[in-house]
Formats: sequence, C-alpha cells, structure tokens
Amino acid sequence: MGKAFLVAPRDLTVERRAIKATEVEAEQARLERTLAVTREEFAALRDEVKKHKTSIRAEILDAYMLILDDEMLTGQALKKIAEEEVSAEYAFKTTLDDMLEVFEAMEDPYFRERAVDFRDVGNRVVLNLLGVAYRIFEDLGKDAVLVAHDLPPSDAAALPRGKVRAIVTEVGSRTSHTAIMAQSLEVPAVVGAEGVMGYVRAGDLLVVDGIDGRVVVNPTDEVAARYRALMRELAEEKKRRARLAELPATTLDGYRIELSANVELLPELEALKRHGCDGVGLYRTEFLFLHRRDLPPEEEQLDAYRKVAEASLPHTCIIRTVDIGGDKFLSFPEVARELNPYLGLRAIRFCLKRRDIFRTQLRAILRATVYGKVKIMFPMISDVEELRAAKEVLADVGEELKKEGRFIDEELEVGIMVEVPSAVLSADVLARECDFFSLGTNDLIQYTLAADRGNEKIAYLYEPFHPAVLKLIKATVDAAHRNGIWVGVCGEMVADPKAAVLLLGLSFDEFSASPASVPDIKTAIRATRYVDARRVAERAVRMTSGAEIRAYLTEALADMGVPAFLCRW
Amino acid sequence: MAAIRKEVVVKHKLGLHARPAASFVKLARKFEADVILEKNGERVNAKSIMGVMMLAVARGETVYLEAEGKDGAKACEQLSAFLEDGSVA
Repeated sequence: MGKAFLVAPRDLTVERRAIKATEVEAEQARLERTLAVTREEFAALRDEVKKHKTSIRAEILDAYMLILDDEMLTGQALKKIAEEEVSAEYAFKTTLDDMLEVFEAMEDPYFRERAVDFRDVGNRVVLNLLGVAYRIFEDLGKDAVLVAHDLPPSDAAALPRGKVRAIVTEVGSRTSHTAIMAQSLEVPAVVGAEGVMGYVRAGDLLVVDGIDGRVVVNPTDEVAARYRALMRELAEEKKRRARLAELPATTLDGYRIELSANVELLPELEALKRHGCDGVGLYRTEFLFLHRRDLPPEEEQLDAYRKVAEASLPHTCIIRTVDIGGDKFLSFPEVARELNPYLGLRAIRFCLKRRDIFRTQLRAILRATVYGKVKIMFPMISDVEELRAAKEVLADVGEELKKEGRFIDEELEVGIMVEVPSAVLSADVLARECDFFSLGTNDLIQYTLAADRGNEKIAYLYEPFHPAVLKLIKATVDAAHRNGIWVGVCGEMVADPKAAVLLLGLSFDEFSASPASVPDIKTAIRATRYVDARRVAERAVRMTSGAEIRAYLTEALADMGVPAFLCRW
Repeated sequence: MAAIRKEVVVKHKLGLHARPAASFVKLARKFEADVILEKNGERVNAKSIMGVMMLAVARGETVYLEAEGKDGAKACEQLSAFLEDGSVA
C-alpha cells in the first residue's frame, strides 16, 4: 500500500538528422565514446546492485551490458552513419529497432520479452547521445507504489531500496524481469494490469494485492483497514515461519522427528530451506520418465539426482526408483494397457521386468551418492523375493561402476516402501533385509480398503483413519523397531495435523510431506507432548470405526492445545 | 587457414536464453578466431549477443559452430563443450 508514483513512458522518437560527409568520422567516434560511457554507467549500476547481494539482478545487467559492445549492432550502426550520412543516435536507434523486430516476431514469449530489455539498454545509449538526464527516481517519496507501462531492468535495478512499497505495470508476465525483480526486492507486484495508467493519478492511494493480482485505487477506509490488517497478519506469519524454519521438529518433551519433504520437480527444491525441511524423504523420479518418447539417459538422471542430493545437504535425500504403472504410464506403444493397472505391472515389478531401464536408473543414483547423503528406496515391494532381486541388481550395478573406477557410497542405505498389505504382514522378514521402511499411506489405504481413491462414487470408503489401516500402520512401525531399523511415513495423510499427532504417537522416526505443508506439521509437533501423543494413539488404535477415531482425535488435539486453524479436514 | 566446422546438439539447460547466451558470447570473445553460430541455415557472429539470441536456440536443437583463425580449433572445442554441458543451470 502506498502513494502512486507514475513513471512516464519515455517516447524516444529520434528524428533523422543528416550530417556532412566530413562529419562521419567524428560522429562514429561520438557513438563509440558514448557506448563506452554507457558501459561504465551500467558497470557502476551492476556493482551497486551486487553490494545488495541480489545477484539475480546483477546477472541480468551483466547480460545486457554485452549489447553495448556488440560487433553486430555497433558494426551496423557505424556503417549506417557512413553510408547514409546520418547522426549517431538515428543510426543506432534504427539499427537496434530493425534487430528488435526479429525478436518481437518470435513465437517464444521469453524472447519477445527480451526485446523489451534490449530496447531499454539501447534507449539508455540514445539518451546519452542526446544528452538527456536520466534520473527518474529522484523525486520518489517514501512509501511509493511505482506505476509504469513497463519497468525495464535498468530502471528496476536503479530503484532505491526500501522506498518502493509495490510495483504495478501494464505489460509483463510472471516470467518478466519486473516480476523477478519485485520478488528479489520482496515487494508485491501486479504485472500485466492493462490500461492501469489511465485510472491512476500521481499521489493516489493504491493497494497492490500481489496474492490475488488486484490493484485497488483510493480504497475506502474500510477496505484500507482490511488490507492493513492483512499486511500485519502476513508480516507476523512470515516472521513466525522464518523462525519456525530454523527450528527442529521436536515435541514439547523433546522427542525429535525427522521432518522431510516429498519432491517431484526440481524447482521445488528451492522451498526446502524456506520451509525448514530436514532434507528430502521422497524424491519421486517418475517425472523424469513421463511426457517423453524416449528414456532419460543416465547423465540426465544423474544431473537431477545430484541436484536433489546437494539441495538436501546437510540432511539426507531418499531417491525412490521409478514407480511407473498405476496411474502414470510411459508414452511408449509397447507398454500394453492393463485392465487393472494398480494391481498390474507397476513400480518394482516393472523395473525387474525392464532391467535395462532399472540398471540405468540405479547407475545414476549410485553415481549421485558422491554429491550428498543419498538413500535408495524401492516402491511397492510385496514379497521378500522382490527385495532380494532388486538388491541383487543394485549390487551388480555397484560392481560394474567400481570396475569403471567410479567412486560410490558403499554404505548406501537401502529401504523399501511399505504400501501393500502383504508387505506389512511380512514386515519382520523384510526388515531383516533392508535398512529402513517408508510407509506410503495413499496406496496402503486403497489396497487395504479395496477403494480406488480416484473414484468419486466410493470416495466415502477411502478413510485414512479406518481401524484396519491403523492396525497395519502400527504393525509396520513395531516390526521395524523390533528389528532395529528406522521407519518413516510419506503420503498425504501426514499433512493433516490429526494424523500427524496420531502417527507421532505410533513412534515413527520420520515424516515426509509436501514442502508447503511442512510448517503446519512442524507447528503441530512442536505444540504436542510425545507422551500425550502416545496415549492418544494407544486409545485410537483400539477404537472401532473411522468416524469414532476422527472425532476422538479432533477432541484430543483441542485438549492438547494444538492450534485449531491447522485442522483442515 | 581453413575454417573448422562442428555439429553440436545443445544440451545446455535453457538453450541460449539471456544469461547462458551472455556466458556463451563472453567465452567466444576470448578467442581471436572469427566464430559463426549457425541454425537452420541462419548464420550469426557468435561474439554478438544480439545475433546469438536472435537464433532463439532451444535445448535439444542442432547448431553448427564454425571457427576461422589461429585458435579456431580451441574455440570450437570449448564452445561446443559449453553447449553440450547439460549440468549447468
């Protein structure tokens, strides 16, 4: 919220000015000199920006500075001065315009937007040639909301920090530099607000709602008060979350649980630290395999696994071998349609059948072990023979890599997903042959209750708190601990604080959930005493229906003082 | 001295978007040799950021590098290695 500061569009029409043949050399020299001056200005700007540690902006400036000594652009402009006997500004501007036309005609919006950036840098040269002062932000008061048709990077980079409260532009998208820079300045921005400059006058009070993408001009007292309250709340929540991210997931009485993240796509890794996750508890590798006609090569997989391993440090990351089948299929014609894919050639079954795919993935995972603390996990194990077969392939691939002279982590922990009832019922046998369990609630629930969670007609049957499900969960934890291995849980269920407290009481060693739900789970854990959670869990597993357990948990959480706003289910 | 020509499949993360393109151009400028980058028959000066970006090279596309000059072989080698490096973000 703040007062509107209109950034007037600078209209740079440069008249064609003819020069005499004798002036050509001097005009060419003037262009070269001005380019050098402009380069220095940008270098100073870049260094200024670098001091503020917002490296992304410095890099952008660095890239655009290159056009200031671009052989193609400068060369053609110099030639134009000589051939057409025109002024430096006219030659430079028209040469640049011709080149930018090519960019503006490109299909890829990324490149079209770069035209805006190049024009900006070019305009600076033209302004310098014309000798026009270029200090648009001098009269900027404090609490200003910048309203511009477009805010080119050189302008945005020159913004005095701390004075600008928000940015509104008529053009741009989420990938435009304005949006990126607003992010790095940590101010709200609304971009692509078409025609906004026609509605706003300088000094108007503006509310910029970057969450809903809304701009309110001269809000009523009531609306302004509502937004002020919202801003205070957001600031409080941001502070609380930042503090929380630094804190461990420990109960009031000191029981520490690993709280890690489920990750599917690499861009999600950025959120690990922000949400305070203890590494990655489940990296789903399926996304490397989907939406393509070929298989991901070893190097490409290694690249992804390495990034996950590095982003997880100092914590561990658990890479799950590919879970193809069920609801995710390769785009190959040879993968036959199955009548009952969830009970078909899926996950580890598929991998043991397609050893070529399996081996390539295992090679990439093993090679990634040198970049971080990697653990490996096989999905959908339903029988100990499957686990043995998978481990055999893993050992064989390990030997192969060693023969090639590659370093791999020999201590690599190997775990399994427990998500099939038969795995729970043979958990003691399985626990003796692996290093950890990770309980996959989504599949365990649907296999136990024979209820497809994607089928709306029977959605009512899909009950995470079903007593049968809880019995299996408890049996899994008990078997793991009896055999001295650790056990985690990954799946949507953990994200519900009721379930989190219940699972905590069943003595899980690790929870893994989507990064965004980690702060809520952590809040619930930190508000709970482990002894209370134990007591609640012991009572819950003896109850007779899902509804009864739900009601009991809701009440128990309220009694324990776990914040009620967290309970969304 | 004859020009050296090399076919390269671009594996670099963003193809040649602004920042990687800038790094590529900076690298090209380190060599004395004249370097041409070619895609679909369009040829540009590899030392020109405008030229390189105009080609809008995307990951997975095939381009040709052509270098002429005394360090041409080295230029070709290092620039193709840059384009083929899939590990750079």
